[in-house]
Amino acid sequence: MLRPGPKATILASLLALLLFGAAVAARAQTSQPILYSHKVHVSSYGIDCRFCHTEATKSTSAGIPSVEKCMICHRVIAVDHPEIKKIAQYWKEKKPIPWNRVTELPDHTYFPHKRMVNAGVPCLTCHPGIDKADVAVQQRDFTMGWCMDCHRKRGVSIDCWTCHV
Amino acid sequence: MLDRRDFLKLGGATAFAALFGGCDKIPKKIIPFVIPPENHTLGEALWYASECRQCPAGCGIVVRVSEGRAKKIEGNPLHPVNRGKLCARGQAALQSLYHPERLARPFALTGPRGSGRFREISWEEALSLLLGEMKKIRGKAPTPLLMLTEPMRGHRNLVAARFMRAFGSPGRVAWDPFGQDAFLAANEAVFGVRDVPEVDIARTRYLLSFSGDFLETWGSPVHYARAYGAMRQDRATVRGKFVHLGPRLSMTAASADLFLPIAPGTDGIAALGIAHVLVKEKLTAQAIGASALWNEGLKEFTPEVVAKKTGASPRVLAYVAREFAGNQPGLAMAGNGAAGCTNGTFNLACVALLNVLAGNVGMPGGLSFPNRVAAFARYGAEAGLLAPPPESGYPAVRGAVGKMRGGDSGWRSCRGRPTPLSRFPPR
Repeated sequence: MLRPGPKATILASLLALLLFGAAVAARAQTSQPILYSHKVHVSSYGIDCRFCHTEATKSTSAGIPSVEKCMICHRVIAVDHPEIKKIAQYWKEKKPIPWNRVTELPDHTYFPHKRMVNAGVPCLTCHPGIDKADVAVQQRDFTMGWCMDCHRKRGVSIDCWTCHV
Repeated sequence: MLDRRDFLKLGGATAFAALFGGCDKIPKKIIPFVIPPENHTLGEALWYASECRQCPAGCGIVVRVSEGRAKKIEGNPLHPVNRGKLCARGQAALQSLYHPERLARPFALTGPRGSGRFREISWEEALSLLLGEMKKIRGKAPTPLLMLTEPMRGHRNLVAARFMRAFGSPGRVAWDPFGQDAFLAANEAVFGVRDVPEVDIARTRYLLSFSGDFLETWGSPVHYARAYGAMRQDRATVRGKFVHLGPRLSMTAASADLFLPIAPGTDGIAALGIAHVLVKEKLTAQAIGASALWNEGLKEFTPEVVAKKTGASPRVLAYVAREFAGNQPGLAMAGNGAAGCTNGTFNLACVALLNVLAGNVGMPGGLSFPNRVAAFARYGAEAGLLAPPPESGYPAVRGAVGKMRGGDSGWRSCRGRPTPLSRFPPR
């Protein structure tokens, strides 16, 4: 068998890096079925996070607003906008909007939103810049070290079982 | 061939690139509700109270609903029928909820009747079809609209009755595949009430059972089984005696203190044999006053005659009769084994007679008919519609089906689970 020369090896490595880079870039911009802009709703119109993410104070997951929630306003507001028409179509067919997940924690951690939110931690701590984002992106990497930093500073539990149930 | 040096270089490059985490993110969907259920918290289940309809007993259930999906069914501790217990059918009811062949949409016939060719249509189309047909026949008198349902009660029955009255058609047939035709006819003959009685097993001291597997599947098995447990264990010094007569050593019979095998269909005769002893030896107050019954034919049913027909020992029959009378309140119950014979009504009526002779009708530990019409008295003239209407019985349903086949009925609306045309025996 012929041994691949040094040129081929370098090219292969560069290609691999390129592919992974593309994946990283792709992760950074997850496309959504509807181009919902947090910036418009939060910054321009001043809607509080908990108006849509109602379960943040009640459950482990903050929840994604239902189609009904969008339609509360968009029954009458901006009905001619092409993105709003898409929502109206989902509502007419009584089908849920299949959002692509943006922010996620690994399965080996237990993170109940209600604990953080009820303790008074602002949403922007972990979701920085979401109020000014046209497209939702996970800005923080949620490494254990980063979480522990804040926990230590605030003097809350750093016990293993707290997050690794 | 890759040599070790190149392999390590490639491995290192891959590991380095993987640090970016670009390859561990598989895009996942996050699906919200279209309309969230009321009082719903994500991740928390809600329990809804409902009723099991897997058999006519109607046990109360609570259903755990998680994110809009029913996940588990348990008995409702507050329901008078089952008090928190539930049989296997109730537990399995989830299977029928999620059965892949369950019809969730209307279907229209696209071929000749009986071809089995259907196409799915929308609710709007189905309703407009139905309304169109109903409008067509509304003008005709008498309106040939027949409503075929399972036996309905309460407000559902009220709505159905009002609808048929407003439409101007009297045609209603109520049919239950677990039909209690013989039982209803027997109770009407003996007590004048065409209804299923309440039997107070929990407070009886002597339970005489004829061919009914009430601890397994007959009648309201969860209700009876619970009461049976109470009969045996609730009272400090009374355990009660349970005697079962019948052709089959069922699980119910196996729970009895005494199992008397008798020939199939002879439950009525066996009961008359016991009644004969009660009246002859004047063992109860009612028996003393039963001379008319005696002269009309009860005197013929001596234990010896009965023994010949049933196969039971005359000595044991007489002994059971004496024990029954001596341990009041006693209760006599007959079930599906006795009812399912060609002389079913006779069998059940004779067993019902034993309750009359024991004087337990309307008493604790005996048999009673809850006065449902009185309970709904505030509905005035419509009170009767809320009480259980009489089941139409097999002959009425056969007649209706015959009319349908003959093309007499202009239209019929069927509701509920029974499908008479497919379930009727061919005779």
